[in-house]
Amino acid sequence: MNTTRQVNLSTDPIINSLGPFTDEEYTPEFGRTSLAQAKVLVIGAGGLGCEILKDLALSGFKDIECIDMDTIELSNLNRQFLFRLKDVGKSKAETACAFVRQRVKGVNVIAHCNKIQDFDLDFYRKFQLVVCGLDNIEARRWINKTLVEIASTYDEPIGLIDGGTEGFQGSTKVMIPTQTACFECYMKIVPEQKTYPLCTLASTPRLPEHCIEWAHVLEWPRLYPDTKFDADVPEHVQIMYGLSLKRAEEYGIEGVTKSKTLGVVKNIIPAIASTNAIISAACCNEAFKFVTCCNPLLDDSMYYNGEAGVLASSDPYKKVDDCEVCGNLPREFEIEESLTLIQFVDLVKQEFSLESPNFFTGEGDVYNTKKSDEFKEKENLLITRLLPFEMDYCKFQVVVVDPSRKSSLKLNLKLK
Amino acid sequence: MSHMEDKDVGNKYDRQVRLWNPTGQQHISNAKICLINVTTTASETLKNLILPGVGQAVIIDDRKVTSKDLSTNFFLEDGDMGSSLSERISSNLAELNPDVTVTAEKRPLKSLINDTEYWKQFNCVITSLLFEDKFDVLVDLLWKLNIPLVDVGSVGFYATLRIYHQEQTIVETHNNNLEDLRIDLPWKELQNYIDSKDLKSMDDQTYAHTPYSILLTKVFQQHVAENGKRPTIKEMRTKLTELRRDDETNLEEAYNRANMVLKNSNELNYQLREIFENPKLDDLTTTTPIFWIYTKALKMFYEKHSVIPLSGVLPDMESDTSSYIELQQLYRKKHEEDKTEIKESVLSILEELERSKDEFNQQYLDTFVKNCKFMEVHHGSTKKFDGKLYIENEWDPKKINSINIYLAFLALSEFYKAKGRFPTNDDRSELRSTTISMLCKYPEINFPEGLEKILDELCRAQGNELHNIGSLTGGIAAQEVIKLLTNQYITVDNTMSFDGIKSYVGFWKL
Repeated sequence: MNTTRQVNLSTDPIINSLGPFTDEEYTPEFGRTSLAQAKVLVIGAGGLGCEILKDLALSGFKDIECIDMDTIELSNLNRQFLFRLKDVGKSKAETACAFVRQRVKGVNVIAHCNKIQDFDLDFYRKFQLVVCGLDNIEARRWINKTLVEIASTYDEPIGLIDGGTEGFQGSTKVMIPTQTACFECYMKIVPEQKTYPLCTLASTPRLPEHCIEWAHVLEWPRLYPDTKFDADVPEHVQIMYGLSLKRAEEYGIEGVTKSKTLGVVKNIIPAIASTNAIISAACCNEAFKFVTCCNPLLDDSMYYNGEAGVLASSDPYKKVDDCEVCGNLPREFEIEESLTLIQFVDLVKQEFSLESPNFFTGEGDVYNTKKSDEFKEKENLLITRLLPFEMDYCKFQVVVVDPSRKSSLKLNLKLK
Repeated sequence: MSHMEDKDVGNKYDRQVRLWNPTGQQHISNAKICLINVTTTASETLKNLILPGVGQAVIIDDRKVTSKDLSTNFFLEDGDMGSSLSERISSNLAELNPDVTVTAEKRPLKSLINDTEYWKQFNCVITSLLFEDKFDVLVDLLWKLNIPLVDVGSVGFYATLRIYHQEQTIVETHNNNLEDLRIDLPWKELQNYIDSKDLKSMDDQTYAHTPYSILLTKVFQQHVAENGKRPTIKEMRTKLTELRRDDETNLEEAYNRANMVLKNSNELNYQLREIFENPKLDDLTTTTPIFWIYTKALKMFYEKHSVIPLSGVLPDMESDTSSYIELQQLYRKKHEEDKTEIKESVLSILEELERSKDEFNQQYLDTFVKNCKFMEVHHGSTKKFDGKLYIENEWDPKKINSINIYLAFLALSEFYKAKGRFPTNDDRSELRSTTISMLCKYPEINFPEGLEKILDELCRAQGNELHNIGSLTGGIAAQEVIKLLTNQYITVDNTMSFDGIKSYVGFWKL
């Protein structure tokens, strides 16, 4: 009798047959091979990352790498379940990967104790999928931009699945660079971090938070111009607490505590094991479906809230047309061979809701709406006569500039 | 509500105590929970309760570890095959947190099921895919003891969760709208304070530093005086725009919050109205839970004043420090006065009932008065299903899909009880027949649309859990148990299902 763990016992029944929602073109061979060959990158080995590593290993993924530059802290232990008290101070990536390797044999798990910016495009191009369990927006934007660049440069779309939590709430996003909305497209709906006006901090504090931010932003740099405040140094936190408390007492404001001080200066987001489990598993469930195609994916993103009852639903999210990262990429634009210049202009205007577009290529102007008189003669000529085409493709990229858009449109024309 | 002490800052529980306060953590640390029937979903649930420091956990399961368990359960290791499932799981889970005692119960469920005393030790019981008649016995037994039972399970891409609990009274619902400005109904001291502020004679700086609640109240009262009725939001906004001297932030705040005038301070929300109608309030006894004594005091307060006690919570408003603090003190003073009135009523009710004064607790009073506006009472049932659900939700295809998943699990249970195994792709028509005969009990419904596909997808999984769905569902279940143990935030009332294909949760009351 085989006494070792066989993860495939639970996934095989799903992979080996088609369900009522499975795409008709799905074949078990495809599902099996894809899962066996997929290389997945996990970014972050913290609250979400620990869960993600466990979930991927127990979903049948065989080749996993993980990046995290942080070390383990005491306050991680209420949720980062691959770490023990004896591990405090060690590398998160190495400790987490070693644990998963030991617990789920036969899975190749490689740790990188690095920043994500330490790696080049060739490193990221190895992967079919990136699953992120990050705690900050900047790193998410960086990896998103990198993956969009890979997708547009090499025509290799690497899937990006992103998880985030706060208290009892969280969300999961599934992104396919250049095909679906990218992380930057979602920035429109990402709430901004709470900040307080400087004049409130300086002269009219009302809340304990105002006193703490005053100490943090104004008083500390004044008193200690040569020492950068470090929230991980207990003496610094103690001084900051003292300054905040004194400020609060001066103004008769109640409620400054050490816990609140640390919460404000470190921008602490409450975090619990259960929410991390929900969001990580939602990410990895999508990862499993993404790679095997055994069932359809969710509609772009899922939002979860357990504060009042249990709410979760997945909602479609549209690509932002003039997204700074993925909106400015060249796009293929199909046209009829019989299209005249003016018909082409009208078609583009309508398609992208433009106001007064200007069309040009590297060789010069094609059409300018504002100076339409200058193009009167050419208006009714065929577009294929005005621009060089080879094998159904236009040899030049057509750039369109319009006051309604922040960035230009880049069109690669193709004949239908 | 007690605050985090300095010594707890940055410790192991820092990030969670910020959510449920030291009192919530105390409840978790003192709790004893029980898990019956180990599945991956169940052990993931337990993991998410051991990490935050639940006091004690007891696991009841007399089965041995199989290759199926090992396939999906992270808390089993190679070499555990054939060993006691409950012992292996307890020992691997106990490792996660030295503060927690995890034990494997030596006796099987059948020898414990009729021992009422045994079950009294638990604050919450969790079951998972317990497809035996003993499950129904357990439901009835725990129901009578008012111990919450959370039944949770997943197969393939689907999961369900059902809470069986006679009554849960939640005071700390963590509603973010506790502020109660009384724009439409200032009490005497507040009215005097507002009257003492003459906007016209103010210099520009004082004007720009007048808190928006004062501006809103003044505009509201002027409108009522002139028109004999409450203003609309639009009328408020027009008037507020006229008040601009420059681009004052406080006026902008008032403009953005003009909808506050729609609030009628005399009106109770739906939940409170229902709570006040509870027959318990007219029949208080020596054993009535303390919540209802406080609620009786609250009802008396409302009957006397036509408002509920002031929460004392004042939002931040653009203003200078001293004006804000002055206003804050007015709100706090009123809050304290209201609280004292509630306290006196509670004490006199206790006296009338010949109950000890020691049952009064200042911390409970503080929490109660601050949060009473949004408190909730859930009354459960032991019903397994109700055919009316399909009729009530026929306009909502997503909800029907969710109910189908729940119903499919009931069918799965019936199938398992009859055959001693889970259905496979070869059993599709058999599982359908099981479902049809089960539905005979509910003549009001036809075979629901979409149910067949769900049943087929369940057959595809052959009774296997997928680790991801188990882990996700274990996260949901743990959140619900934490809400039950801390009695904070609002539990699902009382049934839900998760669709891992569509990534969707539906919930309803049974």
